[in-house]
Amino acid sequence: MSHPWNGENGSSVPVTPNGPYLTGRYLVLFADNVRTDESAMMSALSSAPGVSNVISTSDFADNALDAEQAEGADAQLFPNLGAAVVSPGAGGMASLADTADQDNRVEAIEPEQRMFALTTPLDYVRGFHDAVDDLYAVINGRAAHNGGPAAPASAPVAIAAPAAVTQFVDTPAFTWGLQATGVTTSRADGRGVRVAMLDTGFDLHHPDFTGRAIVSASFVQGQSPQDGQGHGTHVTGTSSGPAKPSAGTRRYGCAPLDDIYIGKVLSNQGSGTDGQILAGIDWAIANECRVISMSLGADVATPSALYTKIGQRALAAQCLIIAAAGNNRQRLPGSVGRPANSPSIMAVGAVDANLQLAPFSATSGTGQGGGVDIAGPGVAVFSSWPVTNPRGGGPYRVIQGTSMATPHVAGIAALWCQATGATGMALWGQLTRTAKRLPLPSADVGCGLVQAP
Amino acid sequence: MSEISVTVEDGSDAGTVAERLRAAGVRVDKVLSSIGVVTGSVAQDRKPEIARIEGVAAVEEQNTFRLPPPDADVQ
Repeated sequence: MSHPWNGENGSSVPVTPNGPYLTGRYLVLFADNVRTDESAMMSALSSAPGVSNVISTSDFADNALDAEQAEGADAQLFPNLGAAVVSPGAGGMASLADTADQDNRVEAIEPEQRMFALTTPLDYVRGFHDAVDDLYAVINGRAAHNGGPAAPASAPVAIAAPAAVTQFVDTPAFTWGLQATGVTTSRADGRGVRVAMLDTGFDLHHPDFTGRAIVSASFVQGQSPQDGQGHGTHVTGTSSGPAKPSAGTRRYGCAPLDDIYIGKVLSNQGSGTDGQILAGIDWAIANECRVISMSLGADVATPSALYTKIGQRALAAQCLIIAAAGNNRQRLPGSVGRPANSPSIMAVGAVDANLQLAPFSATSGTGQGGGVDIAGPGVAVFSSWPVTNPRGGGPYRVIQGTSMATPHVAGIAALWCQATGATGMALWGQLTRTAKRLPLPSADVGCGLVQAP
Repeated sequence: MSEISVTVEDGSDAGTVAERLRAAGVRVDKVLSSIGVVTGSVAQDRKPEIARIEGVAAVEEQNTFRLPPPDADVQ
């Protein structure tokens, strides 16, 4: 999905790569439509300015590149990878970038970086030694590798302390949560992906959702899908709110064009039974929803055989169930509650705008599946609220809880599903593989902070 | 009477299992075929018997989930 150098704003390749870990060469990634066509990749490379001598690993026995011959080449093609390493001639990089912009055979260009082996303790020390040598050389003006500008030998070396916290704030354009999860720069919008919100219903008259197709059903006897509580409208806003809210306020929704399925399983008084929730899950799967978001749970540490089985059946039906870990950190049991503690249901913890753990966010339990799987923004979350509400109307409200973190993950799951077509267990894998690792215990935040594609 | 959720075994038909449950005295509320679950209510003393019915994987008493009030600090 990403075009690091030729994104929406056009060409932005740094002309002179520098820094201690950069080699001065570039990696070229070919598009999927030519990556099996060696001659097409060769001709794309040859058409780049300053590149005349191109070699391919297929020219060598067993694809083992000869280091000496490689040294003299302007470009080395790795046809099995659909990638190449290019040494642009003087001033050649800018034109190479232009070529990439205009050449649809090229997917992306990135500066080649120097790696340090860290496989064993000894290698680790050697790798560290190499890295320090490299830095020392750069700082002392012996920038051997990349010819970058040399610092005077006497210049004081200031080592900046790493920032203790990463601050995000709500801006006029975006909530902090959308910024921290990379939604603000994602090209995906959730279009065509059905997401079920199982909660207190939704304010079907909310101005930010005028004209939006919403499918709704109530599993609460005697109550319509219209949200008489507020919780459901808030979580739906976070997962599916519009790109441009009607009142001109900041964007707060992750997947502005997903297909919204509202299943009211909690009453206007805020409670629901397993029977209602199961009916909602069944309905969502029958309607081919790819994601189910459940900002609900009970403070019960023992995993449920029932929800474990249902989570598995949902995954087999290409549907990922995402549930709030719980807000019980400071009360019993303190760990992920039911149903999020089922191994087949993704459990979501909450972090704040400094990417610190929310004080209420449940930690992992000891049983299998009782772990927190991932974290989302769950403190000071701005989202939609029923316009008229007996306990104070909207159209917006700022609240907190693992309930608010969960729909961030659900909406972003819709973005991944749209971007890659992944569903079920594959979608689960994408969310956890791409999460931003945080310097916090995995027992509290799982794989880290969810990130948009 | 207690409210129960019955998980149907893999490969068994939820409708067929629901019939067996009815015959055993369960007041069936919903047959959820997409997830293989039957919900309903049954007299407390009959629960052990229900768990032994062919095609039943598990019987759990229903829980109630309750949100904090809308003006609570944490949701």
